[in-house]
Amino acid sequence: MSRIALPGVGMTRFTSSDDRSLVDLAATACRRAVVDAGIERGDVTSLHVGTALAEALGQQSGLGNALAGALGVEGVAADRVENTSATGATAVHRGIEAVASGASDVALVVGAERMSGADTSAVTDAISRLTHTREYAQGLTLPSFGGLAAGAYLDRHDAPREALATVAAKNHRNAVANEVAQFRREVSVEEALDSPVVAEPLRLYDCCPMSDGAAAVVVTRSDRGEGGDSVSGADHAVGVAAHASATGTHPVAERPDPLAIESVRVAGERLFDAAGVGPDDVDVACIHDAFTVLELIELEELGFYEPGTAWEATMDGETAMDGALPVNPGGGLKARGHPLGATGVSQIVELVWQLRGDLPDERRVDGATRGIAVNVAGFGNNSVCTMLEA
Amino acid sequence: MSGDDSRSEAEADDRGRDGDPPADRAFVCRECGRRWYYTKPQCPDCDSDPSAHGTEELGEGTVRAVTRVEVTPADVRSPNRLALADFDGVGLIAQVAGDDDPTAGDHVAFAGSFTLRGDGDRPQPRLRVIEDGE
Ligand SMILES: [Zn+2]
Repeated sequence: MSRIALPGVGMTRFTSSDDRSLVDLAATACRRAVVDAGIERGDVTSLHVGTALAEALGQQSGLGNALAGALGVEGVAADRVENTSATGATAVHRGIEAVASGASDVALVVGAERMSGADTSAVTDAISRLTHTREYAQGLTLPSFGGLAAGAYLDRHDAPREALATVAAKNHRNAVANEVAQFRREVSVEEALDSPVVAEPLRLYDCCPMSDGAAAVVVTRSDRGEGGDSVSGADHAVGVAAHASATGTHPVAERPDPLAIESVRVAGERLFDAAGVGPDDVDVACIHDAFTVLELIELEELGFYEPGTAWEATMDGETAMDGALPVNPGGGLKARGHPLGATGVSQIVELVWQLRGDLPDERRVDGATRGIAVNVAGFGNNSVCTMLEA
Repeated sequence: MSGDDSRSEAEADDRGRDGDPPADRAFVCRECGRRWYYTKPQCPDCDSDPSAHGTEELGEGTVRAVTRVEVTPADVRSPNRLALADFDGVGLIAQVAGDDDPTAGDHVAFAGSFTLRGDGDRPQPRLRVIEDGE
């Protein structure tokens, strides 16, 4: 049976500062994905380019067209996708849909961001502008929402701050062996607990960093290889089982419950419905942990845990590499890094690596055959979920 | 009746640079009575256009969540204490005044005149805790 396959992936190492331009970063990830897929660049028929901040930071505009030229694939269909911090996963979905509809034969999807290209306050302001004007007027930043939610979570569920720190320590531990992670060093629960306050109760180690980087994936049909075509491995490649997304309220305070991220719940329900499987059937998950508390809330909204119980499961080690549901095996946004437009694609790259099983032992979720990724825009403005199968 | 011109002059004068009313006022739909805080181009219930939207003072609300933000934008105070509060079904997040240190369940109301962002926009009230019996 023909299905949508991901025969090749590639990414740059995420870092706090990469000297390469946005176009160079994107092109590097693209070349790696094309080589990994075993195709020629001339096989590519569409280019789907995700970047969130390029214009706001005074970088390359019209990135899709600039990249087509840089890669020497002029003639392909190309466009640029923007969905704030879920830009990457949305670009992947546009590539999947282009192939599924028959509009494109081989889609090349890339997400890229270069957040070191401007000073921190300019980046913070550019990100804060995704809020409603009446939120912006109060000086709200993304960590402000994280602090409100984290305080409410600990309060309502009578959870200790160690629960948040455990998420940070786990994701840092997972990143140590990940060659493309920004932070490849362990952080202890104590270090995380003692780090400076960003938005009470969130500390520095509860928050993802700013990052530079790019990630890319090749999307095609699994039956394209028949007849000696160039994507000969596509029928054995990791496949897309389902993809789904949903918007939530734009202003965070319009949600009936400050701990509910309805967009994640709705997108997750759509994803599981479309795939015909449930949370128990998932072997590995890449969760949008821009703040540690989000990993807990999203695991609950997706149905992996009952509301108010993900923190205990995390402290019990259930989401660690050797637990029942390894979460963020590549380090997550917390430790792999969070170059906005690249993050959602890097989650897909990580899942493909895991499901192929071609990672070193200490990096691999043993025997994983099904994984999901959730990439979230703003503080739940839009949630973009993808399920992959070996 | 249509168009923004029908909005009263007093209300129009109250709008800030983004077209938003002062921080202590909610929108109310004159057609259906629905109230909301975050400026919208139409009523979420009956789709009426802004010519049918007035504003009213929020009165007293109940705190649902709080945070103290230490890392703030250059034009915002640090720390920035914030409360997410519910005003009879109208939710909002706003700055907390002075040394007030609200917790979930506390009652709050807008008061005073402060610079919320150092960007030249008009002064705004902040949330204050209302003590019992006040
Ligand atoms: Zn109405």
